[in-house]
Amino acid sequence: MYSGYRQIFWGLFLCTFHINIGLIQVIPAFIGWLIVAGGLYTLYDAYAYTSFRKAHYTVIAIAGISLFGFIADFLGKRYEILTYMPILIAIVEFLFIYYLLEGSIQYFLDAGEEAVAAGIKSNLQIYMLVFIFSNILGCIALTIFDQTLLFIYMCLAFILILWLMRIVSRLKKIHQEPLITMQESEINDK
Amino acid sequence: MRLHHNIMKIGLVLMTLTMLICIVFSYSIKLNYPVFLRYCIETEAVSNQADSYNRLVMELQYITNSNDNRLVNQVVFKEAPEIYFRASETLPGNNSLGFFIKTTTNRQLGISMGRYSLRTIYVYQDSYFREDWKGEKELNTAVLYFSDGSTRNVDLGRIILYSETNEEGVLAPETTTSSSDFSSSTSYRVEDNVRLLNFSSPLLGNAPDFMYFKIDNINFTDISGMEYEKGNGLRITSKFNNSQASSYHYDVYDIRPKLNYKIEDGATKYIRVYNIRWQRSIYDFKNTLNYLKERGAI
Repeated sequence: MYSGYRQIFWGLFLCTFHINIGLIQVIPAFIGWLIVAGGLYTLYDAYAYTSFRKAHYTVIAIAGISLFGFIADFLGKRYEILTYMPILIAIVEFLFIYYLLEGSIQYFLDAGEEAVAAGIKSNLQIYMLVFIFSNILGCIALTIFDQTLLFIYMCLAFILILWLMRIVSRLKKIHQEPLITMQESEINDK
Repeated sequence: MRLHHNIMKIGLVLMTLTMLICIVFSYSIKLNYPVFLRYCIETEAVSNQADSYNRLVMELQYITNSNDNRLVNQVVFKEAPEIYFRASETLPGNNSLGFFIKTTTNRQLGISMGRYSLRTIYVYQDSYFREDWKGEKELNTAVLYFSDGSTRNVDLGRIILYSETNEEGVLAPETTTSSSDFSSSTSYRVEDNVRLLNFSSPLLGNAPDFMYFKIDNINFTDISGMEYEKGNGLRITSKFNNSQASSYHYDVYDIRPKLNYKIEDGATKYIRVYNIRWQRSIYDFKNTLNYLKERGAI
């Protein structure tokens, strides 16, 4: 559990903060997403919750879109559709966040930690609402290319990713030791 | 979890729908070709070898898609193919690429206005006329050469290229003021008795309704016969009433009429009046959309 969340946390960190040396991007965003996918696979491998598997697939999709964008950018292609890449990624990311937190809620419920599960539930609800608002705003901002709206969208997107990293970081720290075994989780998931 | 599941589903539909609508909208407002502003300007040409070489003679602006990274690098006017104009979208010394600037494809060109960008072409006249040339030439259609090898014929309106010798007159300019709201005033001291004849410019007929151009509060069309004695002052004022122009009236005006007058010995002389200039600052996406609709580009 701990190592899975740790990988997700660092993957998200690398997606958010790119490291550039001059013109070269040392770690492109899709590598960060692949690390997140690795973390989700670890979680699925350990507890076999279908939510983690779904989250894993959505993150692989994000990595694919991100890789496509990276190659297009590298080749200097400026397709119109690339403008909406952040929005498309955000929509898939929305699914990833939902499945990740759903899986985590399920895990804590099965482990008898109702309080933790309830905490994540309420976080997820507000998070999703802010996320939807931010994404719709971002879409409009990108369409009319209004600098003020774009700035608000970027701030919101940054706050949202930091918020998600904080949730993941807390989940990572809650239980460094597994609360339930894989056999138990498989039974509960069925 | 049912509530969360519903929020997820509704959110997903909302976000996808918004994205699709935005994509369709952005494709519907995409320009198929760059749209040049219409000009109604007079500009002085480089008239002879002795005159300064490589001088900026005009600035042309056009609206294009923000992801259009072509540059205009040559302008040929159909009406004057013998004159060589050099075109550049950057001012000298402004095109250096620093180490930390990304690739040229990501360079921001022009002024960003929503999905569009407003570009400026600086047109220099490189060649001089083989013989001293005095007169006027009207330029209407330009052939523009883009950096990707494509060309485009563009109707630019009316651009009058003129060249003249500054002759001694009896109207001595004293003070000139011009303001950012495109109002200006010039005062002259009359050094001999004069009788005003008229203002002449091929472009005065194209002047917009919201232009006010007066000599000592007399409208420019009614000045014929006005007399000034030696030592009098003469004041020419011009004003554009911005509120009367629609917010997407992007045409550019720079009219430089000649004030013709007669002196006592019967000779006719003229003085050119500058500063009758109007250009709306373009930065608003909504107005630009209206302008492009009016021009039939979208």
